[in-house]
Amino acid sequence: MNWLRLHDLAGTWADVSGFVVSLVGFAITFGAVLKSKNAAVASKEAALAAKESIRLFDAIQDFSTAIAILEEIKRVQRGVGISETLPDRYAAIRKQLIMLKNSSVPLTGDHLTVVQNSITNLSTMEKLIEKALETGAPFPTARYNTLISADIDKLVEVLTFLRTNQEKA
Amino acid sequence: MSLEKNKELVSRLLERTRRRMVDWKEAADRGFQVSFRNSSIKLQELESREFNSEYLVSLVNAAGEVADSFTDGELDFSEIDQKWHGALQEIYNLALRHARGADEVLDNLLSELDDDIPF
Repeated sequence: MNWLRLHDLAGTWADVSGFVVSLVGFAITFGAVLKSKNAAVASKEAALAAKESIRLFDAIQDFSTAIAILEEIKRVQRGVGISETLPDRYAAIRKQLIMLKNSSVPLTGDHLTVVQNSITNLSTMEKLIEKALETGAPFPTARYNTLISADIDKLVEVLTFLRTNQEKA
Repeated sequence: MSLEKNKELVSRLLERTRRRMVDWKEAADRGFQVSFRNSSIKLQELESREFNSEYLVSLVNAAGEVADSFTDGELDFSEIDQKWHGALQEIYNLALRHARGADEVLDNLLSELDDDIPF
């Protein structure tokens, strides 16, 4: 210190030490900012994953409900034949499948084709049942139930795929 | 109305059905249907007065509603021969075989018979 004072370099020393201190301070602040940014990104990713998981869970629930309703339609058709409530059930299940197809659930092209085929069948059957109710035309219960069973089998495959995805997530 | 797109659709459908690339299934209202991601095609055989069958093609949208339909008669209206009738008849017959798994059964049987020849 004496040497510095003698050579009139005390101001310079203060400048240098001040510079070093500010460099260290900057490094600490930068580290803290980086850490908090990483934490924010991680929390955003976690929130997105949770959202995706909830969406997948909802889709699984909806698919399960759709399959249960189709099974119920088969039982009703086998038991009492056609009734006034059948077209509404067909329409409801069709709308549910349309919503599932348009949701952001990750379905493959083959799965979308399965759902589209089921929607087409349900729409056709709904119209034919309406016509049968109006005109008293014969109602091919066995044929419709066979088609619904085939659709159920394919929809179960889609449901299994979604469940596997959920387990992986 | 020009039916060029409809004719193009039938041509492609015939070509792909011949190559067994179309997964035809039985439809609820008789006939056969094939579905894609957001649409379906239905093919039905209609009985006509001249004892000659007529084919109806229905284009189904994503909601399952028929958006458009046409017959082989409409496609053949300005044609000299009945080429579209022939095309749809061939698709119908191939679709029937595919939907009922006839070719698959035949292939399996031929394979089984081939394997079982005791030499």
